Amino acid sequence: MQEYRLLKKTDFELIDLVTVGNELAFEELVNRYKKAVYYLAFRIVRNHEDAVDLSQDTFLKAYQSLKKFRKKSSFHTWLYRITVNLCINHLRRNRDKVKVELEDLHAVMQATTLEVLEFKELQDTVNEAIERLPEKQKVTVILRVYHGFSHKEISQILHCSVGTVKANYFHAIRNLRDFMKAYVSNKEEIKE
Amino acid sequence: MNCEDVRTKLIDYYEGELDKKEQNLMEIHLRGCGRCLVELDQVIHTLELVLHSFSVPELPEVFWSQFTVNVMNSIRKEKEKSPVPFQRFRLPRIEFGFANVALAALLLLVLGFLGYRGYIDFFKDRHLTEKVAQKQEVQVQKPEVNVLVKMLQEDPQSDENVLNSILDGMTLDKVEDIIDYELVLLEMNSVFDMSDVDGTEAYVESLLKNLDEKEKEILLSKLHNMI
Repeated sequence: MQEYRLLKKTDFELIDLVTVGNELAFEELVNRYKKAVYYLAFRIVRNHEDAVDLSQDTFLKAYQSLKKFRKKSSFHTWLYRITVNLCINHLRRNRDKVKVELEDLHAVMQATTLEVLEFKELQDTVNEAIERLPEKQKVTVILRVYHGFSHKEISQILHCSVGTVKANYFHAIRNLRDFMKAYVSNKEEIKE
Repeated sequence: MNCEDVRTKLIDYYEGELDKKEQNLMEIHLRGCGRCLVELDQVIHTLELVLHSFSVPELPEVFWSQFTVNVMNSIRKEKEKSPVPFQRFRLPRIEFGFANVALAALLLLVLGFLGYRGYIDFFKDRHLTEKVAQKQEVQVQKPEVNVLVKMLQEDPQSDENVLNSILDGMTLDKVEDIIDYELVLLEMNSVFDMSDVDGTEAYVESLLKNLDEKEKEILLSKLHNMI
Protein backbone atom coordinates (compact mmCIF):
# COMPACT_ATOMS: atom_id res chain seq x y z
CA MET A 1 0.00 0.00 0.00
CA GLN A 2 2.81 2.36 0.96
CA GLU A 3 4.65 1.48 -2.26
CA TYR A 4 1.54 2.33 -4.26
CA ARG A 5 1.30 5.72 -2.56
CA LEU A 6 4.96 6.39 -3.30
CA LEU A 7 4.37 5.86 -7.01
CA LYS A 8 2.25 8.99 -7.08
CA LYS A 9 4.75 11.22 -5.33
CA THR A 10 7.05 13.68 -7.10
CA ASP A 11 10.81 13.27 -6.91
CA PHE A 12 11.11 16.11 -4.44
CA GLU A 13 8.42 14.63 -2.19
CA LEU A 14 10.24 11.30 -2.23
CA ILE A 15 13.51 13.02 -1.35
CA ASP A 16 11.84 14.63 1.66
CA LEU A 17 10.70 11.19 2.78
CA VAL A 18 14.17 9.71 2.30
CA THR A 19 15.73 12.40 4.42
CA VAL A 20 13.49 11.43 7.33
CA GLY A 21 14.50 7.80 6.98
CA ASN A 22 12.01 6.28 4.53
CA GLU A 23 14.07 3.73 2.61
CA LEU A 24 11.19 2.69 0.36
CA ALA A 25 11.03 6.22 -0.99
CA PHE A 26 14.61 5.91 -2.18
CA GLU A 27 13.82 2.53 -3.71
CA GLU A 28 11.12 4.24 -5.73
CA LEU A 29 13.66 6.82 -6.96
CA VAL A 30 15.99 3.98 -7.96
CA ASN A 31 13.19 2.33 -9.89
CA ARG A 32 12.38 5.56 -11.68
CA TYR A 33 15.88 6.30 -12.87
CA LYS A 34 17.86 3.05 -12.91
CA LYS A 35 17.46 2.45 -16.65
CA ALA A 36 18.33 6.01 -17.64
CA VAL A 37 21.37 6.04 -15.34
CA TYR A 38 22.59 2.63 -16.54
CA TYR A 39 22.20 3.56 -20.23
CA LEU A 40 24.01 6.83 -19.71
CA ALA A 41 26.87 5.01 -17.98
CA PHE A 42 26.91 2.33 -20.66
CA ARG A 43 27.12 4.90 -23.44
CA ILE A 44 30.05 6.61 -21.76
CA VAL A 45 32.11 3.61 -20.64
CA ARG A 46 30.83 1.17 -23.31
CA ASN A 47 31.10 -1.87 -21.15
CA HIS A 48 28.19 -3.64 -19.46
CA GLU A 49 29.93 -4.74 -16.26
CA ASP A 50 31.46 -1.33 -15.62
CA ALA A 51 28.18 0.40 -16.44
CA VAL A 52 26.36 -1.77 -13.88
CA ASP A 53 28.93 -1.00 -11.18
CA LEU A 54 28.97 2.71 -11.98
CA SER A 55 25.21 3.07 -12.13
CA GLN A 56 24.78 1.25 -8.82
CA ASP A 57 27.50 3.42 -7.31
CA THR A 58 25.65 6.47 -8.60
CA PHE A 59 22.61 5.62 -6.49
CA LEU A 60 24.71 4.84 -3.45
CA LYS A 61 26.52 8.20 -3.71
CA ALA A 62 23.23 9.96 -4.37
CA TYR A 63 21.77 8.45 -1.21
CA GLN A 64 24.80 9.43 0.84
CA SER A 65 24.72 12.99 -0.51
CA LEU A 66 20.99 13.54 -0.63
CA LYS A 67 21.02 16.08 2.20
CA LYS A 68 23.29 18.23 0.08
CA PHE A 69 20.82 18.31 -2.76
CA ARG A 70 19.07 21.65 -2.44
CA LYS A 71 16.52 21.15 -5.20
CA LYS A 72 17.91 23.92 -7.34
CA SER A 73 17.91 21.55 -10.29
CA SER A 74 15.75 18.53 -10.95
CA PHE A 75 16.72 15.33 -9.17
CA HIS A 76 17.50 13.51 -12.40
CA THR A 77 19.87 16.29 -13.55
CA TRP A 78 21.71 15.98 -10.26
CA LEU A 79 21.76 12.20 -10.57
CA TYR A 80 23.16 12.35 -14.11
CA ARG A 81 25.81 14.75 -12.90
CA ILE A 82 26.98 12.15 -10.40
CA THR A 83 26.85 9.46 -13.10
CA VAL A 84 28.90 11.51 -15.54
CA ASN A 85 31.50 12.32 -12.89
CA LEU A 86 31.83 8.70 -11.83
CA CYS A 87 32.13 7.61 -15.45
CA ILE A 88 34.70 10.26 -16.34
CA ASN A 89 36.78 9.32 -13.32
CA HIS A 90 36.48 5.67 -14.29
CA LEU A 91 37.65 6.44 -17.83
CA ARG A 92 40.57 8.45 -16.50
CA ARG A 93 41.62 5.65 -14.20
CA ASN A 94 41.39 3.11 -17.01
CA ARG A 95 42.72 5.26 -19.80
CA ASP A 96 45.42 2.79 -20.71
CA LYS A 97 43.24 -0.27 -20.61
CA VAL A 98 41.55 -0.92 -23.90
CA LYS A 99 38.34 -2.83 -23.43
CA VAL A 100 36.77 -4.61 -26.35
CA GLU A 101 33.02 -4.67 -26.18
CA LEU A 102 32.04 -8.21 -27.11
CA GLU A 103 28.68 -7.16 -28.39
CA ASP A 104 30.31 -5.51 -31.41
CA LEU A 105 32.37 -8.58 -32.14
CA HIS A 106 29.31 -10.82 -31.99
CA ALA A 107 27.40 -8.55 -34.29
CA VAL A 108 30.17 -8.72 -36.87
CA MET A 109 30.31 -12.50 -36.58
CA GLN A 110 26.57 -12.76 -37.05
CA ALA A 111 26.46 -10.44 -40.04
CA THR A 112 25.24 -12.56 -42.92
CA THR A 113 25.29 -10.16 -45.81
CA LEU A 114 27.90 -7.77 -47.06
CA GLU A 115 25.43 -4.91 -46.69
CA VAL A 116 24.97 -5.63 -43.01
CA LEU A 117 28.69 -5.95 -42.61
CA GLU A 118 29.25 -2.61 -44.31
CA PHE A 119 26.64 -0.99 -42.09
CA LYS A 120 28.28 -2.59 -39.07
CA GLU A 121 31.63 -1.31 -40.25
CA LEU A 122 30.18 2.16 -40.57
CA GLN A 123 28.70 1.93 -37.08
CA ASP A 124 32.05 0.82 -35.70
CA THR A 125 33.75 3.70 -37.44
CA VAL A 126 31.33 6.22 -35.94
CA ASN A 127 31.80 4.61 -32.54
CA GLU A 128 35.55 4.84 -32.91
CA ALA A 129 35.19 8.49 -33.88
CA ILE A 130 33.05 9.18 -30.79
CA GLU A 131 35.56 7.33 -28.66
CA ARG A 132 38.35 9.58 -29.96
CA LEU A 133 36.57 12.81 -29.08
CA PRO A 134 37.87 14.82 -26.15
CA GLU A 135 36.11 13.75 -22.93
CA LYS A 136 33.69 16.67 -22.59
CA GLN A 137 32.79 16.66 -26.29
CA LYS A 138 32.06 12.95 -26.06
CA VAL A 139 29.84 13.29 -23.00
CA THR A 140 28.07 16.30 -24.53
CA VAL A 141 27.25 14.32 -27.68
CA ILE A 142 25.96 11.38 -25.63
CA LEU A 143 23.77 13.58 -23.46
CA ARG A 144 22.44 15.53 -26.40
CA VAL A 145 22.01 12.92 -29.12
CA TYR A 146 21.11 9.81 -27.15
CA HIS A 147 19.41 11.29 -24.11
CA GLY A 148 17.89 14.37 -25.74
CA PHE A 149 18.93 16.84 -23.04
CA SER A 150 18.71 20.55 -23.73
CA HIS A 151 21.87 22.64 -23.74
CA LYS A 152 20.79 24.11 -20.41
CA GLU A 153 20.33 20.70 -18.81
CA ILE A 154 23.71 19.57 -20.10
CA SER A 155 25.29 22.70 -18.67
CA GLN A 156 23.82 21.78 -15.27
CA ILE A 157 25.04 18.20 -15.53
CA LEU A 158 28.54 19.14 -16.67
CA HIS A 159 28.64 22.20 -14.45
CA CYS A 160 29.60 24.61 -17.18
CA SER A 161 27.99 27.42 -19.13
CA VAL A 162 25.46 26.91 -21.92
CA GLY A 163 27.97 28.56 -24.26
CA THR A 164 30.57 25.94 -23.38
CA VAL A 165 28.07 23.16 -24.03
CA LYS A 166 27.16 24.62 -27.42
CA ALA A 167 30.83 25.01 -28.33
CA ASN A 168 31.62 21.45 -27.25
CA TYR A 169 28.70 20.10 -29.22
CA PHE A 170 29.56 22.10 -32.32
CA HIS A 171 33.18 20.97 -32.26
CA ALA A 172 32.21 17.38 -31.52
CA ILE A 173 29.94 17.18 -34.57
CA ARG A 174 32.54 18.91 -36.71
CA ASN A 175 35.22 16.49 -35.52
CA LEU A 176 32.96 13.52 -36.19
CA ARG A 177 32.14 14.83 -39.64
CA ASP A 178 35.83 15.31 -40.46
CA PHE A 179 36.62 11.84 -39.18
CA MET A 180 33.89 10.33 -41.35
CA LYS A 181 35.06 12.33 -44.37
CA ALA A 182 38.57 10.98 -43.90
CA TYR A 183 37.18 7.47 -43.51
CA VAL A 184 35.11 7.68 -46.72
CA SER A 185 37.94 9.14 -48.80
CA ASN A 186 40.29 6.48 -47.46
CA LYS A 187 37.81 3.77 -48.52
CA GLU A 188 37.50 5.30 -51.97
CA GLU A 189 41.26 5.38 -52.37
CA ILE A 190 41.48 1.70 -51.48
CA LYS A 191 38.76 0.85 -54.05
CA GLU A 192 40.63 2.73 -56.79
CA MET B 1 24.16 36.37 -42.75
CA ASN B 2 27.44 35.23 -44.27
CA CYS B 3 28.64 31.65 -44.81
CA GLU B 4 30.65 31.59 -41.60
CA ASP B 5 27.67 32.67 -39.49
CA VAL B 6 25.48 30.11 -41.18
CA ARG B 7 27.92 27.24 -40.70
CA THR B 8 28.24 27.86 -36.99
CA LYS B 9 24.45 27.65 -36.70
CA LEU B 10 23.76 24.63 -38.87
CA ILE B 11 23.37 22.23 -35.95
CA ASP B 12 21.02 24.60 -34.11
CA TYR B 13 19.08 25.08 -37.34
CA TYR B 14 18.69 21.34 -37.86
CA GLU B 15 17.66 20.80 -34.25
CA GLY B 16 15.17 23.67 -34.31
CA GLU B 17 17.02 25.67 -31.68
CA LEU B 18 16.97 28.98 -33.54
CA ASP B 19 14.36 31.67 -33.17
CA LYS B 20 12.07 32.35 -36.09
CA LYS B 21 13.99 35.34 -37.37
CA GLU B 22 17.31 33.47 -37.43
CA GLN B 23 15.68 30.44 -38.97
CA ASN B 24 14.31 32.57 -41.82
CA LEU B 25 17.70 34.17 -42.40
CA MET B 26 19.29 30.70 -42.51
CA GLU B 27 16.73 29.49 -45.05
CA ILE B 28 17.28 32.51 -47.28
CA HIS B 29 21.02 31.91 -47.23
CA LEU B 30 20.76 28.15 -47.77
CA ARG B 31 18.52 28.61 -50.79
CA GLY B 32 21.24 30.56 -52.53
CA CYS B 33 24.40 28.87 -51.25
CA GLY B 34 25.27 25.39 -52.49
CA ARG B 35 28.31 25.05 -50.27
CA CYS B 36 26.43 25.72 -47.05
CA LEU B 37 23.72 23.33 -48.20
CA VAL B 38 26.36 20.63 -48.62
CA GLU B 39 27.63 21.44 -45.13
CA LEU B 40 24.09 21.10 -43.79
CA ASP B 41 23.75 17.70 -45.46
CA GLN B 42 26.98 16.58 -43.86
CA VAL B 43 25.87 17.77 -40.42
CA ILE B 44 22.54 15.92 -40.76
CA HIS B 45 24.29 12.80 -42.04
CA THR B 46 26.79 12.87 -39.16
CA LEU B 47 24.10 13.36 -36.52
CA GLU B 48 22.02 10.53 -37.94
CA LEU B 49 25.02 8.24 -38.09
CA VAL B 50 25.79 9.03 -34.48
CA LEU B 51 22.18 8.45 -33.46
CA HIS B 52 22.05 5.03 -35.11
CA SER B 53 25.60 3.94 -34.47
CA PHE B 54 25.34 2.74 -30.94
CA SER B 55 22.88 0.20 -29.70
CA VAL B 56 22.38 -0.43 -26.02
CA PRO B 57 21.78 -3.94 -24.71
CA GLU B 58 18.23 -5.11 -24.06
CA LEU B 59 18.26 -6.35 -20.50
CA PRO B 60 15.67 -8.68 -18.98
CA GLU B 61 13.29 -7.50 -16.26
CA VAL B 62 14.96 -9.81 -13.76
CA PHE B 63 18.18 -7.84 -14.21
CA TRP B 64 16.42 -4.60 -13.30
CA SER B 65 14.77 -6.11 -10.22
CA GLN B 66 18.14 -7.39 -9.07
CA PHE B 67 19.65 -3.98 -9.77
CA THR B 68 17.32 -2.33 -7.26
CA VAL B 69 17.96 -5.08 -4.71
CA ASN B 70 21.74 -4.62 -5.09
CA VAL B 71 21.52 -0.85 -4.65
CA MET B 72 19.36 -1.12 -1.55
CA ASN B 73 21.63 -3.80 -0.09
CA SER B 74 24.71 -1.67 -0.60
CA ILE B 75 22.92 1.25 1.07
CA ARG B 76 22.04 -0.92 4.06
CA LYS B 77 25.64 -2.14 4.31
CA GLU B 78 26.91 1.44 4.29
CA LYS B 79 24.38 2.39 6.94
CA GLU B 80 25.60 -0.44 9.16
CA LYS B 81 29.14 0.88 8.83
CA SER B 82 28.02 4.38 9.66
CA PRO B 83 24.84 4.59 11.73
CA VAL B 84 24.29 8.23 10.79
CA PRO B 85 22.69 8.09 7.34
CA PHE B 86 23.56 11.57 6.26
CA GLN B 87 26.16 14.07 7.11
CA ARG B 88 24.85 17.54 7.51
CA PHE B 89 25.90 19.93 4.82
CA ARG B 90 28.60 21.99 6.35
CA LEU B 91 29.10 25.59 5.54
CA PRO B 92 30.66 26.95 8.69
CA ARG B 93 32.57 30.15 9.03
CA ILE B 94 35.75 28.45 10.04
CA GLU B 95 38.64 30.06 11.77
CA PHE B 96 41.15 30.87 9.12
CA GLY B 97 44.25 29.85 11.00
CA PHE B 98 47.76 29.00 9.95
CA ALA B 99 46.91 25.50 8.72
CA ASN B 100 44.40 26.85 6.26
CA VAL B 101 46.71 29.55 5.02
CA ALA B 102 49.44 26.99 4.52
CA LEU B 103 47.06 24.70 2.70
CA ALA B 104 45.79 27.56 0.56
CA ALA B 105 49.34 28.51 -0.26
CA LEU B 106 50.19 24.97 -1.20
CA LEU B 107 47.07 24.58 -3.28
CA LEU B 108 47.61 27.85 -5.10
CA LEU B 109 51.23 26.95 -5.69
CA VAL B 110 50.27 23.65 -7.24
CA LEU B 111 47.53 25.24 -9.30
CA GLY B 112 49.89 27.94 -10.45
CA PHE B 113 52.54 25.37 -11.25
CA LEU B 114 50.12 23.17 -13.18
CA GLY B 115 48.65 26.15 -14.98
CA TYR B 116 52.11 27.35 -15.92
CA ARG B 117 53.06 23.94 -17.17
CA GLY B 118 49.96 23.89 -19.31
CA TYR B 119 48.60 20.73 -17.77
CA ILE B 120 45.27 22.31 -17.06
CA ASP B 121 43.57 25.16 -18.82
CA PHE B 122 41.24 26.15 -16.08
CA PHE B 123 42.96 29.45 -15.57
CA LYS B 124 41.60 30.49 -18.91
CA ASP B 125 38.13 29.38 -18.00
CA ARG B 126 36.66 31.60 -15.37
CA HIS B 127 33.10 31.08 -16.41
CA LEU B 128 32.07 29.46 -13.15
CA THR B 129 33.10 32.32 -10.95
CA GLU B 130 31.79 34.83 -13.44
CA LYS B 131 28.49 33.05 -13.81
CA VAL B 132 27.89 32.88 -10.10
CA ALA B 133 28.97 36.46 -9.58
CA GLN B 134 26.61 37.55 -12.33
CA LYS B 135 23.78 35.61 -10.78
CA GLN B 136 24.36 37.15 -7.40
CA GLU B 137 24.90 40.56 -8.97
CA VAL B 138 27.90 40.90 -6.77
CA GLN B 139 31.09 42.39 -8.00
CA VAL B 140 33.61 39.92 -6.73
CA GLN B 141 37.11 41.10 -6.45
CA LYS B 142 39.32 38.72 -8.35
CA PRO B 143 42.96 39.18 -7.55
CA GLU B 144 45.15 37.33 -10.01
CA VAL B 145 46.06 33.88 -8.86
CA ASN B 146 49.65 34.49 -9.79
CA VAL B 147 49.80 37.52 -7.54
CA LEU B 148 48.41 35.50 -4.68
CA VAL B 149 50.82 32.68 -5.38
CA LYS B 150 53.71 35.10 -5.33
CA MET B 151 52.56 36.72 -2.11
CA LEU B 152 52.01 33.40 -0.44
CA GLN B 153 55.35 32.12 -1.61
CA GLU B 154 57.04 35.02 0.06
CA ASP B 155 55.32 34.65 3.39
CA PRO B 156 52.23 32.47 3.79
CA GLN B 157 51.36 33.69 7.28
CA SER B 158 51.46 37.37 6.49
CA ASP B 159 48.80 37.00 3.83
CA GLU B 160 46.09 35.70 6.07
CA ASN B 161 44.37 39.08 5.77
CA VAL B 162 44.36 38.90 1.99
CA LEU B 163 42.70 35.51 1.98
CA ASN B 164 40.29 36.54 4.71
CA SER B 165 39.25 39.59 2.73
CA ILE B 166 38.49 37.39 -0.25
CA LEU B 167 36.47 35.06 1.91
CA ASP B 168 34.52 37.94 3.36
CA GLY B 169 33.54 39.06 -0.12
CA MET B 170 31.83 35.78 -0.85
CA THR B 171 28.19 35.19 -0.09
CA LEU B 172 27.00 31.91 1.30
CA ASP B 173 24.94 31.17 -1.81
CA LYS B 174 27.91 31.79 -4.04
CA VAL B 175 30.05 29.38 -2.08
CA GLU B 176 27.29 26.81 -2.10
CA ASP B 177 26.84 27.07 -5.83
CA ILE B 178 30.49 26.60 -6.52
CA ILE B 179 31.14 23.72 -4.21
CA ASP B 180 27.85 21.88 -4.31
CA TYR B 181 29.05 19.50 -6.91
CA GLU B 182 32.74 19.65 -6.06
CA LEU B 183 32.21 18.40 -2.53
CA VAL B 184 30.04 15.54 -3.68
CA LEU B 185 32.81 14.63 -6.08
CA LEU B 186 35.38 14.83 -3.36
CA GLU B 187 33.44 12.54 -1.09
CA MET B 188 32.78 10.12 -3.87
CA ASN B 189 36.39 9.69 -4.81
CA SER B 190 38.00 9.98 -1.42
CA VAL B 191 40.90 11.52 -3.26
CA PHE B 192 41.37 14.93 -4.67
CA ASP B 193 41.23 14.81 -8.43
CA MET B 194 43.36 17.69 -9.67
CA SER B 195 42.08 17.35 -13.19
CA ASP B 196 38.68 18.54 -12.03
CA VAL B 197 39.94 21.66 -10.35
CA ASP B 198 38.67 25.00 -11.44
CA GLY B 199 41.84 27.00 -10.96
CA THR B 200 40.29 30.23 -9.81
CA GLU B 201 41.07 31.63 -6.42
CA ALA B 202 37.37 31.59 -5.59
CA TYR B 203 37.36 27.85 -6.04
CA VAL B 204 40.36 27.44 -3.79
CA GLU B 205 38.83 29.46 -1.01
CA SER B 206 35.46 27.86 -1.24
CA LEU B 207 37.02 24.45 -1.22
CA LEU B 208 39.08 25.16 1.84
CA LYS B 209 36.17 26.67 3.67
CA ASN B 210 34.20 23.51 3.37
CA LEU B 211 36.70 20.77 3.90
CA ASP B 212 36.71 18.94 7.16
CA GLU B 213 39.97 17.91 8.78
CA LYS B 214 40.03 14.50 7.12
CA GLU B 215 39.41 15.96 3.68
CA LYS B 216 42.15 18.50 4.27
CA GLU B 217 44.56 15.72 5.11
CA ILE B 218 43.71 13.92 1.89
CA LEU B 219 44.14 17.09 -0.11
CA LEU B 220 47.38 17.95 1.61
CA SER B 221 48.92 14.54 0.98
CA LYS B 222 47.79 14.65 -2.64
CA LEU B 223 49.38 18.06 -3.08
CA HIS B 224 52.59 16.94 -1.45
CA ASN B 225 52.75 14.02 -3.84
CA MET B 226 52.23 16.27 -6.79
CA ILE B 227 54.99 18.63 -5.75
